[in-house]
Amino acid sequence: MLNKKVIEEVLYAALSTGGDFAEIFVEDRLNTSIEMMQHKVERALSGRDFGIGIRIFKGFNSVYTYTNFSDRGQLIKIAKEAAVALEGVPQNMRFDLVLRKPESLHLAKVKPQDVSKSTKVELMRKASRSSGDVSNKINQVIVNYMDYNQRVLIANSEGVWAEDDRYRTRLMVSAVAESGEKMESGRAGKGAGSGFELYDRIDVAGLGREASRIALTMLDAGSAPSGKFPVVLDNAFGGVIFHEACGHGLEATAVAKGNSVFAGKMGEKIASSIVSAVDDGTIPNEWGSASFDDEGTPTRRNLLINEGVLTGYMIDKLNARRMKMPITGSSRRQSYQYAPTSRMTNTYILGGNTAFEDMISSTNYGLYAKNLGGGSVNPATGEFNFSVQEGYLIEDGKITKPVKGATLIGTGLEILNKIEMVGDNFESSEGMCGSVSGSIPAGLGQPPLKVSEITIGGREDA
Amino acid sequence: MLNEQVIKDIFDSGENKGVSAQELYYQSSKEVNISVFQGEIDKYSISEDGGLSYRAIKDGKMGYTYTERLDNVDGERLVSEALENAKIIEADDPMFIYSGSKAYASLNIFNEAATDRPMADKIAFMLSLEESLLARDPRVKRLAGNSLNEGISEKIIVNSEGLRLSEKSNYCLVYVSVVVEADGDVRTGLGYDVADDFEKISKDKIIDMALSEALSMLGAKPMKSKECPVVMKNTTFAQLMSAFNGLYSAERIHKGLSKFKNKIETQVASEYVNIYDDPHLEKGLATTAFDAEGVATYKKALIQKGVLKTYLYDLKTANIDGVAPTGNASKGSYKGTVGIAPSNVYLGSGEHTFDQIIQSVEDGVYLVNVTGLHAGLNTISGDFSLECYGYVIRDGKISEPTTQITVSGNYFELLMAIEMLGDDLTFTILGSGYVGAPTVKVKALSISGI
Repeated sequence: MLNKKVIEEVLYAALSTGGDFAEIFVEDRLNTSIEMMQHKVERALSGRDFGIGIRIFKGFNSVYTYTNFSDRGQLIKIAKEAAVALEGVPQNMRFDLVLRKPESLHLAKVKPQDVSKSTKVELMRKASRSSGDVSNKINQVIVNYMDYNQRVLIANSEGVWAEDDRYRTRLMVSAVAESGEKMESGRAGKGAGSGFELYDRIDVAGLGREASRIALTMLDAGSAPSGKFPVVLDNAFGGVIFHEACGHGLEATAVAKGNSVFAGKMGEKIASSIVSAVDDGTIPNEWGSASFDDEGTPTRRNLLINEGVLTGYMIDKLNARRMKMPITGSSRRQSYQYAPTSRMTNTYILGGNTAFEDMISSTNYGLYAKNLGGGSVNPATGEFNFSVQEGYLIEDGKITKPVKGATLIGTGLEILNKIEMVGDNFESSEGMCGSVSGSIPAGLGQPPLKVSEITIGGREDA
Repeated sequence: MLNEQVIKDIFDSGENKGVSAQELYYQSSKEVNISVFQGEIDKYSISEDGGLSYRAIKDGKMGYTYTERLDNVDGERLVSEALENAKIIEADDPMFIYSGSKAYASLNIFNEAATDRPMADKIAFMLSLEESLLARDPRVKRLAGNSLNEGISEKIIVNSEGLRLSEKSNYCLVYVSVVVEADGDVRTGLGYDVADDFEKISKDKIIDMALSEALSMLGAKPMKSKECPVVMKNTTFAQLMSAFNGLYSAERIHKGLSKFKNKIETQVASEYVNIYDDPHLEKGLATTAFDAEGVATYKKALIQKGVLKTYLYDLKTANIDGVAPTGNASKGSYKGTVGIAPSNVYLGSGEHTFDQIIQSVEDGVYLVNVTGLHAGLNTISGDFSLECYGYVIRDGKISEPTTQITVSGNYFELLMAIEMLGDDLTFTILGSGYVGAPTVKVKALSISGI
């Protein structure tokens, strides 16, 4: 992507005013996206992202710059311009770059760019048709397909020189059901950090039917209850609770400057003792996996919480300086347009040993949250929210009638201690996570969980 | 970059490949970002980048592609890629590349004088902002985030129908998120200011905005769940409203994705409600003379006295409905395809003062913040359930702060249930686009707490 000599020259130029660390990030990415509505392809777009980011540290200070141009002269020029922001004399640092190729952890067997667009369209049509065929109340189906191949080069003045080749593909179905004046929607999708072979192992027609099933179920749903009740969160995307309630608060971005309720709590019990959680960027072909993070550090499995005790944060190079703790291989960025920082990769609550049925049967009155939507958190206060797309009332130990979407809220420290049952059937899912360094694919997952009480943002039925 | 030779090469290549019309859309920007922490520059970033989008019609189908590889644009490849994408299009609506409107507004959105303010002044401003905040009140502990962000951007549209348009704009945004603490309770507050010139940014405005609510929210507790009258802060209502901007899109109407279908000239909101799309708004961040297809923009009422007046159109949907395009074709960036979006949207002011509105509520809440708009609402059904905070209103007075509550309702019902509007229209950058509203009183919404 860039030759060794140019990389070295750029890094030395970046260090010319006394910086103590310099890094270059080169990104070349091919994107494809196709949108189908009412079973017909409506939009098709493909294109190429290309750019280079240069970052310099001096102590706790950092400078970042980026460009679309890759010629040596331009790169040295912007490296020097960025360096001017740090005043000082060069420290005459020396380094030797040693190339580390990925250890082929997340191979794409079938590269999406080698698959014809019409094959992708046929796949989408399968999902679209099966969704529309569920009922004549389904009046609209939207199928979105995307794939990309992101090639990156990361090198720095510590001698790191890594190249990584990343693939992602995802198919999402939204169905709209209509009955009289009522309109409801349902969504289902699947993605992976792999090539087109993903679609050999998943059932896209099933995704289509699932989206319609949710939309139709919601047509008949009443309001969710309002107030504090027990909640059983299903597996897979249910993991959004940990992502928001705790995950963001364990990122060095928040912890390093004391802006997290979990800062200074290492080694302390922060969750119910049946809770263990990891952030693991190494899982083959998962949504949030990579061979190297965006600072060129090999990804790894980081134990965040062990039996309720806080055992780890997610830490990037810059925040590692402030925190005086080692990096964790989970520094990420959306693209060359962002400086990287500590982010989640695939963040999971690990499996427990309670059967799902026991969670339901032990609940007198509460909510079963079957499908979850996104959420957000304010790490400084720990206050978080996430939405339920498909929920059911639990009455006298049984799942009864469907209820409409509602937001669940709480604070991280409180909710983690109220997890009273952890299920035995773990499943993972995929989301897009937006934060300081942009929007990135983040894996999440959990077994079903029972939380003893959480505030449900429902409506009082009039 | 985008010089005459590059344009010619690409268009020649398109013609050779038999396209019937083609267009280039170029966007570039220059940005500076500064943030500080504990009296030092924490992060500093400078950038200059851009991208080139190409689209073309062949056999009636529109294909798109883009590239950021600008030092060596491969026109041949760009055209082939777009045509490959055109080939798989199945929708058969006629597509258009535009030859131009009769006239375009001349808008004041680029402030040349503001582009060379000394960097040292900006750094000094941020350091003094942090220092002033920390000195203001002992309960202010630190900044959770801050930045000065300055940008200049330019867009150019050139097409085979003879259209050539360009527009340059600039902005300066300073924001700060502050952490306050008392008796173990932590609250955060956000303050910002935006202008077309760094020298117009007001430090006092930012500090007041960041601290006024953060400090008074200290000690906030959940309230009891109930259905009650709700007063929403102007900018908070604007954010909620912007999440439903898609309702007006003719494309979403045609595709059965908006409950506003078949509702033109019918009452969709209370009689006090007037909602405008104003692309010529002075100091509006979405202010522009032409849309993503090159159609001239103009101000229009979307809802007047509660009656839905128009949808928003691009060329394709306007042709389907047999109306004129409204200048609302939109493209997120050169990476996007053309869609439909409003520009600066606002709910017009009413006649009540803020105090009059609060005084009219015997038992209710005043919400100053809603969170999770990307997840906690359904734009199809209109149902929403959102984390929020604010103050209890008791006997016509703002009383204790309340947090860890949610507000739920249905947006279509809410529009009909608007009872009073304040005279304090204010715009915010926190919604989707640049949106404004006055203080809004809604007859009743559900609050969930304990």
